[in-house]
Amino acid sequence: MSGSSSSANDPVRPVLKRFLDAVKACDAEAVASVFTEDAVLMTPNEPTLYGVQEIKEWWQEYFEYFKVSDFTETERDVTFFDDAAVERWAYVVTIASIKSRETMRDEGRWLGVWKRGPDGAWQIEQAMFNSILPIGSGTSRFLTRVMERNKGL
Amino acid sequence: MSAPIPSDTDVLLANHERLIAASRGSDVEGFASLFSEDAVFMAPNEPTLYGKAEVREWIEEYVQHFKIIALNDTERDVGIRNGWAIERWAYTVAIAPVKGGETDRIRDDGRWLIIWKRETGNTWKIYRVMFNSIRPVGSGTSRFFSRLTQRREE
Repeated sequence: MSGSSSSANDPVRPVLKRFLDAVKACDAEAVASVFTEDAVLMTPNEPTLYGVQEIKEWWQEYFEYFKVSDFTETERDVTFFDDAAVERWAYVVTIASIKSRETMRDEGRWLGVWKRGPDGAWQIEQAMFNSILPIGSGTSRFLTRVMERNKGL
Repeated sequence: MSAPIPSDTDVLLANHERLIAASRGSDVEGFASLFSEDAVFMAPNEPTLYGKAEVREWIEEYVQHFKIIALNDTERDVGIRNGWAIERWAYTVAIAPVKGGETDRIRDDGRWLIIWKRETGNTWKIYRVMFNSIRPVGSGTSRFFSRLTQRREE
């Protein structure tokens, strides 16, 4: 068993930065480029996404409605083994609704499995995220209100 | 993504079944025994738990309030890598609040992403785990908790 979380030898860090920059720039193509062809992404309260095409479509739709205006990392650790890595990181995010201009704040966590390809490039193979904030706050509060409005409540 | 592996070579299958049995049986010790001392446990809408002792306390508190009455796999994928393993599984669960209330059963569909590590004695322990629900906000477990929160605010 081999494992380390040395930041000095952290080849996924620059790719993570590219991913976050792409999210902030609402660039679905660049976001998708960080994932393997057969990647699996499990976003909370939504069906599992299989493959980079579905992931790209998800982000395209997301960017039609939301703009991530701020993203701050609060915690991160990475464990490397062979040609893979497990990354866990936590964040505070500020998201603006494009249509209503409402702003929401959330605190979440990401658990990702990275894979190094034959060309040495690191990409995300599986990932899941969820919120730390209680139900009824953060993003879930916003979405609940949207759903209530849609129902005419 | 790793392809699903046959059950006869799935070294994690026994642990997976123990995890389900402990969950169904409200077995705190059985549940906690599957975690490494340095495990990190990330349940939705809750702070991160660090270490087996915190995981044990969490499940101990959980079973005081909830009883899992059905838990069935709907999908499972395992990839083994030299002392490490990645397990992704999806499930349907039925949960009963122990104290009852306006609902006697909560249904949810969720997923776990588990990183296992092999420890001495060739035992596999959960090193990192996160789970979340597939159901939209306002349904499944979150619907139950939303209503609970609203009642407290009234």
